[in-house]
Parts: sequence; C-alpha cells; structure tokens
Amino acid sequence: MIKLVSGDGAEFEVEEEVAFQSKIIKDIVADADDVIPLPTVSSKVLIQVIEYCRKHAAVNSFPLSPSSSAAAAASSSSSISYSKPVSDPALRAWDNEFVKLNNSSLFDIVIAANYLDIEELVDLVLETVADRIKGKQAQEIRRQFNIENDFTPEEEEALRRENSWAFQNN
Amino acid sequence: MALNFSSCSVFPTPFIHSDDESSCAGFKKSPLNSLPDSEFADAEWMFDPADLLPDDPFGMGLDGSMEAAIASFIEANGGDLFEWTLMNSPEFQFYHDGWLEEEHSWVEDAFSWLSVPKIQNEQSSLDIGESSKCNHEETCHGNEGLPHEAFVFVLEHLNFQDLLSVEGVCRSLHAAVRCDFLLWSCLHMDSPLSEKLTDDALLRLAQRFQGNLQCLSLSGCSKITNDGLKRVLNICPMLRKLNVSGCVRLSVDGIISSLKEFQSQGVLGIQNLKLGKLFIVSTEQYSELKSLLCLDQLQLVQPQKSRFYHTYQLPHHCDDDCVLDFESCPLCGKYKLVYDCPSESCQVEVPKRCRACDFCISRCVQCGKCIKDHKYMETFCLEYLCSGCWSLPPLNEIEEEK
Repeated sequence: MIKLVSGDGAEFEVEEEVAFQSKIIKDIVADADDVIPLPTVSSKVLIQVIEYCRKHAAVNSFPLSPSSSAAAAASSSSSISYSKPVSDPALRAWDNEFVKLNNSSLFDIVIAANYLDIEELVDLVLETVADRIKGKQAQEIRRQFNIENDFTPEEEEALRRENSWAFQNN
Repeated sequence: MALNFSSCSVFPTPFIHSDDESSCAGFKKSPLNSLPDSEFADAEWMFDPADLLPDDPFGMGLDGSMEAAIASFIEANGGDLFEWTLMNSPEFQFYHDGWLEEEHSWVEDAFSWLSVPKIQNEQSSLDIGESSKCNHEETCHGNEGLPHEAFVFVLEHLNFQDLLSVEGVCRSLHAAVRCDFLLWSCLHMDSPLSEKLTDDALLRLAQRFQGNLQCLSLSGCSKITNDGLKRVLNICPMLRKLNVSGCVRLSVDGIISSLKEFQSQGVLGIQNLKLGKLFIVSTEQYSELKSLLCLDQLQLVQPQKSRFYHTYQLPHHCDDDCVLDFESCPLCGKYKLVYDCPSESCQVEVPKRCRACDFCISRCVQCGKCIKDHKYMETFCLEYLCSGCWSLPPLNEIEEEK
C-alpha cells in the first residue's frame, strides 16, 4: 500500500498498481518511502484521480476480453483508424461518464494528472475540453468558460478582419 | 528583557495588546459570562481583532510591526514583561485568582485557541469535500474572467479553425495561441476551412510563423493559386514538408517552378511533397520533381511504406517521411499514386501483382482491397464497395458513434 498525502493534508491509501498508473509515483517509490506528499494536489482532485487510476488499473490488469480484442483487430485490419488502439468499450464508456464534470474541475484534473504524469488521463480530459470548444465562436467560448473579453473594440475589429475569411459562410 | 519578550509570540495578539476593544472581547470570555463557549471561540477566530486596531492609535509615528510597538511601549514603562502580560490579559488574571483549577475544560478550550492552524488542518481532513470546494471557489474568484491556467494545454488538441476562435476570446489566450511555437510550426488546413483559404489569407497566416513554418498542408485548398503558393514559399525558408493534394488551381508546372524558385534561395528545401490524386505528372516533370527533392539519392535508402486506397481523408501525419507520393505504376508505367492491397492473400504474393494505381486495379472504397474475384457494388459516387464492407455500416457512421 502507498500513502498519498494531498496538499490539504488528507491521506489516501492506495494499492501499488493503482498508484503506479502515475509514472512519477512509480519513480518516487522506486527510490524513496511509501508516503508520498503531493502538495500541489487538493484532496478533491486527488479523489477523482485515484478513482480514475483505480478503474484503469483494474481493467489493465486483465487481458482484453475476446470480443473487444476482436474488435480491435478488425479496426486495425481495415487500416483506416489511425487513432489510438481501441480499448475496452466498457472502459471507454466509463471514461465518458468520468469526464462529465464542469470545466474548472476538468482543468484542475489536467494540472494534477500532468504533475503526476498520467498520460492517458491528461489526454482524456484535454480531449473532452477540446470537444467543448470545437466548432464554437469566441463569444460562445467566453460564455462556456466564464472568460471576460478584455480586448478593446479596435483590437477585436482588427482580429475579426484578419480572420474573416475563416468565419464567412460561402 | 529580550529573552522574556520572545515568549510573547506564544500569546495571541489580543492578550498582549491592551486596548479597550480587545480587552472587552476578552472579558466576554470570562468564566463568569459564558463558559465553555467554543462557538464564540470559533467566531472570534474568524477575524483577528488586531485588524480592528488602528496602526498607530496614539500618533507615535510608529510604522514598524506590532511587536516593535509593544516592545517600545514596555520599554517606555520600564515594566517587567511577564507582569505586564498578566495584568493586561483577562485570562491570566483568572489564573492569578486561582480559577484555573475549577475550570479545567475552559482552560483546555482556551489553550486550544493557541494552536488554531492545527485545528483547521484536522477539520479540513475530516471534511474533505467541503474544504476543497472552498478552495476551488477561492481560485475561481481569484481568476474571475481569466482563462484557467490549464487552458493552454487544450490548444494542441484543437484544429486550426478552433484556434482562430480561441485567439479571439481574450488577450491572454490570444497571446497563448500566437506565441506557442509548437502550435505554429505546422499549418494543416482541414475542411471546411481549406475551401475558404484564399491566397491573401494564406500569406497572412504564413507571416504569423515568422519563418518558422516547417510543415504546410494545403489539402483541399481549392482557392490557392500557383502565384499564392510561390509567395508563401518565399516567406517560409524553413519549410520541409508540403502537401498540395486536392489543390485544384495548382498545376504541376506551377508547383515545379515554385519549388525551383524556393530552392534557389539557398534554403534546405522541401524534403517531402505530397501531390495527391488529382495531378497528372509527365515523365519529364517527374524527373524534375525527383531532382528537386533529391529523390535519386534517397530512394535507395528509404523503404516505402504501404499505401492503401480509400477516399476518406487520413489525419495529417507530419512524421510521414515519404519523400514524394507519386511513383511509377508497375502496370501502366504512369506516374501516379500507387496502392498496395491490404488483403492478406494479395500481400503474400511475390511479386506483388496487386500493387498498382487506382486506374489499373479497382479497389473497395472503404477497405482498399482489390475487388477482382470478389462480389462488389457500385456506390452513388461511382466508387466500388466490396461485399465485406457492404454489410458493414459506412465508415463515417462508425466514426460518429465513437
């Protein structure tokens, strides 16, 4: 068991294979003790990260079920999907549920996962946020992420003119 | 005196500093009024009574710390610190009067005040959800109206059009999009933006890169002309990879002359060129392209990757190191895109009879397998669909499900 201590002093005991989803913890444990302080990670975020690691550690420890590996083989043979290899569909569904959070929670998780070097989680969350941005205009992005428009009207107009070719419908 | 004074730090300021207001508050805590009253204790610790005090109540011209003020006050009175502390702190007056023995619980309470930070820690670990929510709100309030610090990580997951939207959101994101060197060494145009890209817009975009552009994909940019390509190449000395597939206004001669001019600037030159399906290259043009790309020396070293036929656009690959996508078709000898067959039975054949351009061998539009000896159907767009893919839903529907 490895003890993780969040920035606000809460302690979490997790199994090795769960904690080792984070490469940085794996490295730390290799040459230090089993209590790992994570001063920049709040306990709220750490709970979510551990939840993710626990799920993925459990799934990764078992080989793919026959049906899903067949699906993976089928998609690779068609040689059309160049994205990441198809993982367990059930896990993907779980991931989709996991990221149903508000934007600032997702960003907090990105920072923690980046710090802990959990590549899959970083990608998952960033893809989710990117999906929320895709196809939106600046005004919609401001509203969604609660960002204030601090351009002067002149700057905004200059920018609009520069990018007008991309936003006109023809 | 100095040694004695250091013990002052143990006591919270209100006890040490004698002021009407703070000593009043202290007296309310007396065992006679309300004891034990931990609720009051919490309430009082919400704010530091010292904050209520004027910085320099007596106009003594002291602008140093509170401790310095008190020290000088004590010095001025010439009194003993311990006596002074007891005199001015109601709690220690009780101690003096022997109430301590009667009110154990209260004393414990009083002393636990002294270690407030510890109490707060315990509380936060007990009530994690609550405390982290508070922290979270604080950070939100701190950055009201500004993008989250992690927003910049998302930029590399966005396509070009979304980057243009994001740079119009606020100043900090504008700076982040414009300054991120990694984002701006590759320019990949996707549909629907590629159809809108004009020569002038491309030139302005290329200027943003300040000469750092290394990979330019103009796939499907139907408005780009030979002249536009030439002007862009002029301001992109670092360019290594160029994709002009689907640029219907470009001609092979125009591309060759642009490349010649580019190469004559003394730059390293284009190392990878993708022409795509549309162009028809004559033997002379092909040899000219080969010499421009230094293909003669390289071809022997680099094994060609298999290329499979399908109409769906692949995601862009900067790491695709194919120098020139055209080659001589083994069957008709023309210079075209030559496809391999993904079918296992065809791949084991030596020599590969199934390796040819799309004109010589018809292939299934979805899986890219040759359709000779197979059942197939013709689609609405006059493409072929093999019996295996026929029963599957069309590929774009699978993509949408994901």
